[in-house]
Amino acid sequence: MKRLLTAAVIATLALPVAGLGAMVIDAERNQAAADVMRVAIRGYDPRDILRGHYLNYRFDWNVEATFVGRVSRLCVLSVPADAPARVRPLAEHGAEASTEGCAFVVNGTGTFLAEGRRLEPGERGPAGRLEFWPSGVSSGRLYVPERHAERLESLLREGKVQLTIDLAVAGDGRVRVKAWHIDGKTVDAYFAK
Amino acid sequence: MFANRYLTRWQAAGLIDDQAAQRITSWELSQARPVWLWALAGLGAFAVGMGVVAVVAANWELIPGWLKIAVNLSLNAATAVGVFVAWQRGWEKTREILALLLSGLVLSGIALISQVYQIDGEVWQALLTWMAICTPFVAMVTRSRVLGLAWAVAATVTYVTAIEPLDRVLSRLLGGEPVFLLAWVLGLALLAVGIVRGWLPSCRGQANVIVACGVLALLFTVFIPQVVVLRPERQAGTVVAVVASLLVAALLWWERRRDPPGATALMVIVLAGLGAWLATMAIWTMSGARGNRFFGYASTEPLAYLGAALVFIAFWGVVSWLALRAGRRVLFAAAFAVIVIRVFIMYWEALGGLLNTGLGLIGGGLLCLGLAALGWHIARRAGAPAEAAI
Repeated sequence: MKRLLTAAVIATLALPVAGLGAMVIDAERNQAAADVMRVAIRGYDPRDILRGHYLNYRFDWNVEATFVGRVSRLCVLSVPADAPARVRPLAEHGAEASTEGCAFVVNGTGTFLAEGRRLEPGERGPAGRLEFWPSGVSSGRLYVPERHAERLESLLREGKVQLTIDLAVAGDGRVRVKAWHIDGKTVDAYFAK
Repeated sequence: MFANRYLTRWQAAGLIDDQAAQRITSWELSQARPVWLWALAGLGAFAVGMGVVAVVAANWELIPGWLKIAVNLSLNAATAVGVFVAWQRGWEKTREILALLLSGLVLSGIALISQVYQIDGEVWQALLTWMAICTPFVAMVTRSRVLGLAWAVAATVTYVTAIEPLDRVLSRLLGGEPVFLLAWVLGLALLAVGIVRGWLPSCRGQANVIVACGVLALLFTVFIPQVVVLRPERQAGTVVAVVASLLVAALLWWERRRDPPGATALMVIVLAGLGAWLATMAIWTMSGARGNRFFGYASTEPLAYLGAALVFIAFWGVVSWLALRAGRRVLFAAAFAVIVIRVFIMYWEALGGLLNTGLGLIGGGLLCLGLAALGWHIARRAGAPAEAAI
């Protein structure tokens, strides 16, 4: 009985290291196996874009829309190495839910909002704006190293830089932020130039 | 100094003689510790600790992610080993302190991994993971009230942060707004955990703290239907809440074999609280109340308003009676104060206009004074505290 109790105590005390270790392995595995897509982002709140050490952002999707309304998934059409991925919104049901021609699919929630403007030359489908949050990215915040925060904030205010995020998309369609870039460079590389 | 003041008072009142006072003073002197030296040493240790934290924080971004995680995992492992050694050798205080430290390290580890890998999730998910990792070792090795309180608070915070997704899931499963179920079930769960925990004799103190947290949660939630007009169109959530309450009541009925007065008092609180919720919701439904704000309802539906207030007062009357019966004077005074405040609010809201409000305040104030005198009288008549039942 005493041995059994000791074994149980050891098992419960091993759980913290085992649990945290499993989280690290899971994160590493997901990053290694996932499809990666680049998405443009923009600072969200002009009063306080960098809230503390975090960048508040919204996605700026490179979208090819076919309908207006609720979007339940995104079809990733092309994934250029150094440019934002081209995506097509997918509806929950019907013809607009077809994943034909998709390199992979991103789960989430959102809406394609119509805008009363003319289509640009070469632009297809309805004109509008996609507001979509992939599953797994809920807060819309990125950690920014303190030493770069002030300079980054002024660059964002002046609109001089293009921010992008590399999203690692798992097989189940959930995403994780793998990295983020300023004008295609990592934060440290950008500020080291 | 503090003891001397009381010794003088007790000597003057004839409660102790000079020799007893001398013996107490001598014993206190023999027990004295160099508090200032301890405080100075503590201040030094604190300064060193804060200095280390500041040095690490200043270089945080320069430390590679893998190194931060490795250090955190090593600290977790070392603390876990420390808890095990303290548990095996029966070092109670060390065991409890290290267990608390280990819980903090696990939470910091989760936050660190989220930061290094930019894992973006909800707060409740992180807290739930933390609870799932820490609850087994807290249950296995800790016995103190402090750890019991810490666990109950952590469980409550996790539950509160998860209330929105829970609401969505339950709304989809049960239909309608499951406010009653969501509000009521936390107290019931804490109560059940505390009772089961108390089955181990060495865990009774910790179990009592968890039970007390559960009772507090139940008492607090009875305020909710007083300030929010709840009229669920579908009753599936209400039915689940009633079934859960009856299951906990059955558990308490079983528990009466071990602690008859305590378990009976808890059973009465659960059933009276359930009755207060159901009666208040029935009043709102029958009166055809519109909107969901209670305040200002007194002028449009005075009878429904009065009925809901009386249900609330009756519930707290039961609580104050139980407290009095258990010899819990502080709890009795608190329950009585809640009744008096509710009566005062009812009295004040029932009267409109400046003159009437003024008259209402004077009348309500006099009523409060009268009720306070009554409460004082009842508390004094209760005499010496009996064994605590709640």
